[in-house]
This record gives sequence, structure tokens and C-alpha cells, in this order.
Amino acid sequence: MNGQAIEFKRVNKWFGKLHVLRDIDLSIASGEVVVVCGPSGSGKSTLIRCVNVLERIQQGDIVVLGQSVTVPGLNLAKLRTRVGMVFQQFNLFAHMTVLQNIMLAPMRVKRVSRDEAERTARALLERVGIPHRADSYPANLSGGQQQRVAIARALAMQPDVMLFDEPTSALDPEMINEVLEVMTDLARDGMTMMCVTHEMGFARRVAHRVIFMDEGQVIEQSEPEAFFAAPKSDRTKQFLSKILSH
Amino acid sequence: MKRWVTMFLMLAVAAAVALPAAAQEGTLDKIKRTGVLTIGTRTGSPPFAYIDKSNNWVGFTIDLVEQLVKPAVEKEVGKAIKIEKKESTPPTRIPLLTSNAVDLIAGTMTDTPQRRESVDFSLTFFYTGAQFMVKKGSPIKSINDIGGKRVAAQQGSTNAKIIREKVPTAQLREFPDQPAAFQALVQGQVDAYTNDGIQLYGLKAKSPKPDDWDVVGDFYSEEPYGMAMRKGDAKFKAAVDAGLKNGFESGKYFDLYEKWFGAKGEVPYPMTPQVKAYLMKQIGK
Amino acid sequence: MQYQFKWSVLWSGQSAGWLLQGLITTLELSALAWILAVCLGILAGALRTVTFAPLRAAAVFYVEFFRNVPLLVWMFFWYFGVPPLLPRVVQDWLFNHGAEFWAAVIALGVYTGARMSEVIRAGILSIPRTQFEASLAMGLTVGQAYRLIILPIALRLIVPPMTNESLNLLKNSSVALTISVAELTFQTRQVETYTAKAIEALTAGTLIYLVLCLGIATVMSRLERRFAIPGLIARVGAG
Repeated sequence: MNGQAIEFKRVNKWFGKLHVLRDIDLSIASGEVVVVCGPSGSGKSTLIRCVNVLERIQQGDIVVLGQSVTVPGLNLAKLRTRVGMVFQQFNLFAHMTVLQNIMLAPMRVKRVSRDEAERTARALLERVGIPHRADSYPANLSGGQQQRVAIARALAMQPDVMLFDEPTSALDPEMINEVLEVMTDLARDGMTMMCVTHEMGFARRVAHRVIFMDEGQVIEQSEPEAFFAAPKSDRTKQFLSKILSH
Repeated sequence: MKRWVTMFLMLAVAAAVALPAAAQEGTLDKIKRTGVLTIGTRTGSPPFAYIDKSNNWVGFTIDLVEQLVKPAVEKEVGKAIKIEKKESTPPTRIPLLTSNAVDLIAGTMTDTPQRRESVDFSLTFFYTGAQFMVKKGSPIKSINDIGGKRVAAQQGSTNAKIIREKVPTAQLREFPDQPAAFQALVQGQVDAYTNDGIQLYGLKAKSPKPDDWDVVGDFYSEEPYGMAMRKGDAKFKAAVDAGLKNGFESGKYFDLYEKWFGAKGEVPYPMTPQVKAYLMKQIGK
Repeated sequence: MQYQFKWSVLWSGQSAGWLLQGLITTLELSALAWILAVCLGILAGALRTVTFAPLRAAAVFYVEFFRNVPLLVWMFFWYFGVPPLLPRVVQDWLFNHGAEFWAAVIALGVYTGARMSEVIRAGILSIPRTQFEASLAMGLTVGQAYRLIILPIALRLIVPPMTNESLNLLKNSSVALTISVAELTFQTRQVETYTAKAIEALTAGTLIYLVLCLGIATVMSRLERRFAIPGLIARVGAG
């Protein structure tokens, strides 16, 4: 896939009176890995949630995989099958086993046969490193394992783009790496990724571009080397000094 | 958990058995002590006992208690007493009596052999029999015509029992109170409503269009109304009967009958000679 | 003058048969009403949590209207109020084919459904909103998200309060006697009429209701354990 995967065009969004996204102009190319960071309340989560229309924008447009999200009567479910998402709180379905969680959407949305869905699911569990937990229930898994299942579940739909909304923020420190490794592998395989995260090590190693947001605006964006070595704005410097100090 | 349930049940049963046994005091003694005779009666059975337009609880049976039974009881206990009235319905009246909540059921209760196993009855103070109320022009003229028809009756009444035995093909619908049963007749849910003739006459007289309704059929049951008392309290029963007997002898009973059932009464229901003979035969006349 | 107990009235004569008939009618009435109530409850409960305002308003109207009017009134409404709106032929057919029973089923089902919907709504609202978002993000439609994710979890969470409502439904079914449905309480009174043994008849009725309620409570707690989500809901009395 060539060209732009996601394009934000002068996007504005308000929650009531609160102006949470201000004139966002941003493009993410196919195969690109972008890390979005910024202080809490900066609008980075809202930004990523607008891509698969969990939030609606009031002005401007977002074009996802060639499809404008502001078209009236847009088939949202169809768009979302091409955009995988991983949440901070894993959001596995507690009443289903790991395998059932992964097989659900392919079977219900894409009408894939049970056998094929199961084959895919087991292959994905292999890929995220927990094939032996296929029949466990989410509550019996560690946080790191749950998040890896969540990634496998998103991948089962064979999306063209993956969105990560603070995927490691809810994890104990010793589990963060196992999730980041999976994400790193995914990036190496050429997946288009938009990640909201504070894992600066991951950003440095894996991202093609780092975006810094504050107060609903994109303050600065550049390649990781430049971003960490020579941040241009004071706000970025401040933010980095806080987040890298420990 | 199960053990607790068992224990609770045993306690409940024990309490049910023990409570009546604790109350051994005779009714007259109780009235003497409290100065009150508590009767269980109806609120919606004109003209026997009902709440009238000016919100008074009145009726033929209530008059009988006030004017005939009360003086007789006062004579026995040797002091003036008050009458207190409580609502009682067919399903609640015997429990009210046996639990001592009331001393006398004075409403529209039919004296039957089964009931005599649980309570004692006074002399019969009214005599009627079951008939049918139908829309004017209905093909139903008597109990012989109700096979396959929908018939409303009052729950806990003897009429339903007789219909079930005599005409099993009739579709019986039993309602807890008269208004609901009559409503069912008005709307056509049922083809006929059966109750004691006098009740039906009362209902017809009170209905918005009395001429729309007919009360039909010979009495297919005998419904002698009596006042009910706790079983085995001979002294109290003697006092109540004495009051009624005095009423029959002095003619005061018949004055009250005229007041409620005479041509100008609440529900005109002239007494037939047979009924009068039946009543007088009770006191040997 | 003391009350003479005679428990044999309960099994002599027709009493046992009547009580059995009453029991069957109560069970039929309650079961049908329960199915109706659960369907309506799930529908209204789910609709109250959707974002589309007119649907939410319709569900609010249903719940507030039906649960705030006494059940007795609903019995009369469905039995006396509705049939006159139908053609005479249909009325006659209904009256010959147990109109009172079906009126009672509808009254009880619709009334309890309104109450159950509140329980179900609470269950749905107790599930984090992000579960719903995760379902949508996978490409499920709103309907699929409710059917496959939200409701299956919510229904497991609300077994205890639903047990409560189910027991209430069973007990409330006795109100049907006001429109001449010959259910258990009706038959209890029938026994009392024929035998004049009120305490015996009432005790029999009470015991039957008690056994039914304990039975339902047992079945529901089995269900709760059987469908418990591993690790999510503590198993009651397990281990």
C-alpha cells in the first residue's frame, strides 16, 4: 500500500466548550510508525480515537485509507475492520476465552469459517508468544499477557492500520517490555502504526516520527533522533525533561 | 440454611396452634371487660351492609345488630356496650373470627353444614337463594340454560360450588368482589352473573340503567343468612339468638325488613309467605 | 371455642386436585409472564443506554409508565379495558378461550418487564464503556456489540437482583385472581370455601409458594455458578 494511510485536515473538536483539538494537520504514510506523546489532557488520546470514529470531529476532515470519516451515512463497521485498535485497559471480553476473543470479529464481521478463524487465532497467539493460554479466560492472565491477546485480537482482522492508545500505561513495569517487543515486531513487519505512548525508548528505537502535542495542538514533529537530541520548542523540552528524568 | 428453614416452619406452626388456645375467655366476658362488641361486616353489600352516600356504614344486618342483638348482649353483661365494625370478606371472615379480631360476623354469610364445622350460626335472619342476572333479552332463563355459557360468580361463595357440581359444562369465572363480576357482565366477558337473588336485586337497583338487567331463574340453592360466632361459645350464641328471637316476636324485625326491603326501601324485595313461615318456624311459631 | 385443626381437608375430597390445578396455572402464568418480562426488560434496559435519544425516551416512557401504576390496575386494564376495543367476534372468541389468563400474562409480563429493565440497565451501566468501544473498534455493529458482549456480561452480573424480580413475579401472579384466573391463591380460597378450614388452606398455599420460591432461588444460584465468569465474579459458596 502506497501513499497516505491517515490524513488529518484542519481538524477541530470540542467537548462542550473545551477546545480539545485545534487545527490539526497531519499525515501518516503507509508503513510509517508514528509515536504521539504529550502531557495528559493534551488531546493525544482524543486524536487517535477520532481515526476510527470512537469520537466525532466537528470541523475539518480525516481521511483513513482513502475514506473520509465525515461522509454522511458512512459504514463505520466496515472502516473499523481495516483499523485495529489496542486500548490502555486491554478490554478483553471477560466471558470469552482467549481464543474466542480473537475469533469473534473474524467470524461475526468477516464471516470467516470457524476452522479458519481458529487457525488464524492460534497462529497469532504463537506470534505474540502465548500459544499455551488459548483456552484461558482473560481474568486468569497477567496484564502483559492480556495486552498481547488484545493485540492478537486486533490483528485477527488483518487491519491496514493499527492504533495504540497508551498500551503499556496500565501495566506493571516488568510486563511493559513483553508488550513493546510485540509492537516492535509488528513495526518491523511494516505495519502502519499510530501509537500514543510515553515509552520514549520504544519511540527512539522503532518510530519513524515522533509527534508532540499540547493543549490540543501539534507543537512539534520530527524524526526520533532530532526530536530527542534537539527539541525545538520549550514545551517539548520541559515535557522531555520530566519524562526522561526517571 | 435448610435447618433454619425447618426450624422457622416448626415455630410458625407451633404459634398457629398455640395462639387460639391462649384465648380461652368467653366472648361475653370479653365484651364485659372491654365494653365493645366487634362485628365483621361488609362495605359493599347493599342493603345488608354498605357505605351509603353520606359515608355512613349502614344496612339491614347492621340495624339488626344495633337494635336487636345489642340490647340482648347488654342485658347479659349488665352494662352499655359499643358496636365496632370491621370489614370482612368471604375469604377473611372465618379467620377474623377464630383469631378473635371480631366477635360476630354480621353480613351476608350463608349458613352451611361445612361452615358449621368451624363456626356457630345464629338463627337465620334472612332467606334467599341463588339466581342469575342477565342482560335483558338473554336466552338464559334459569340454571338449565347455562351449559357452555360463561357465568361469573363471587369467589368463596356457595353458588360457584353448586354450579360446578350441577352444571360442570358451564364456564365459571370467579371474581373476588361484586363490582368486578358485574363489570364482566356489562362488558360481555360473561353471559350471566350468579349470586344470591337479593344481592342481584340490590345490584340491579344500584346500576346506572336498572332496566337493562333481568334477575331470572328459581332459587337453585337455599341461602339462609346467619350471624357467625366462634364455635362452642353457647352463652354468647344464646344472647345473640335471644335478641333475634325477640325481634321476630315483637315484630321489630319485620319493621326493619320493611325499612330496607319494603316498597320504599333501599331494595324492594317483598317477603313471601314461605320465607316468613320459615323464619317463624325457627322460634317454634 | 378453640380453632379445631383438620389437616385432612387438604388431601380429602377435591382439595388436592384444586391445589394442583392452581399450582399448574400459577406456574404457567408465571413462566409465560417471565419470558415476556425478560424480553421486554432486556429490550428496554438496553435501549435506555443507547445514544440515540428518541429510542431512549421511548424506553424511559415504558419503564416509568408501567412500573408506577399498580399491578392490579394493569390486570383490570388488560382484562376490562382492552377487549372492548376489539371487534365483537374477536371478543367472544377471546372470552371463550381464557381471555383472563392472557390478560394476566400480559399485565404481569409488561409490569415486571419495566422493573426488570431497571435491573438490566444498571447491569449494562456497570460494564466499562471501553468494553463497548472495543467491540465497535473491532468492526462489530452496535447491535452485535450489545448482543455478543454487553448483554451476556450484564446478564451474568444481574442474576441476584433478577432472582428477586422473578420471585416478586411469582408472588405477584396471585393478583390475577382479581380477574378470575384460577391460580394457586384462588384455589386456596376455594378449598377454604368448601371446607371452611381457612388456616389449613392458607398454610397449604403458603407452603407451596415457599417451596416454589426456594426452588427458583436454588435454580438461579446454580445458574449463577454455572455461568460465572472465571476470575471476574466470585463464586458463591464454592471451595
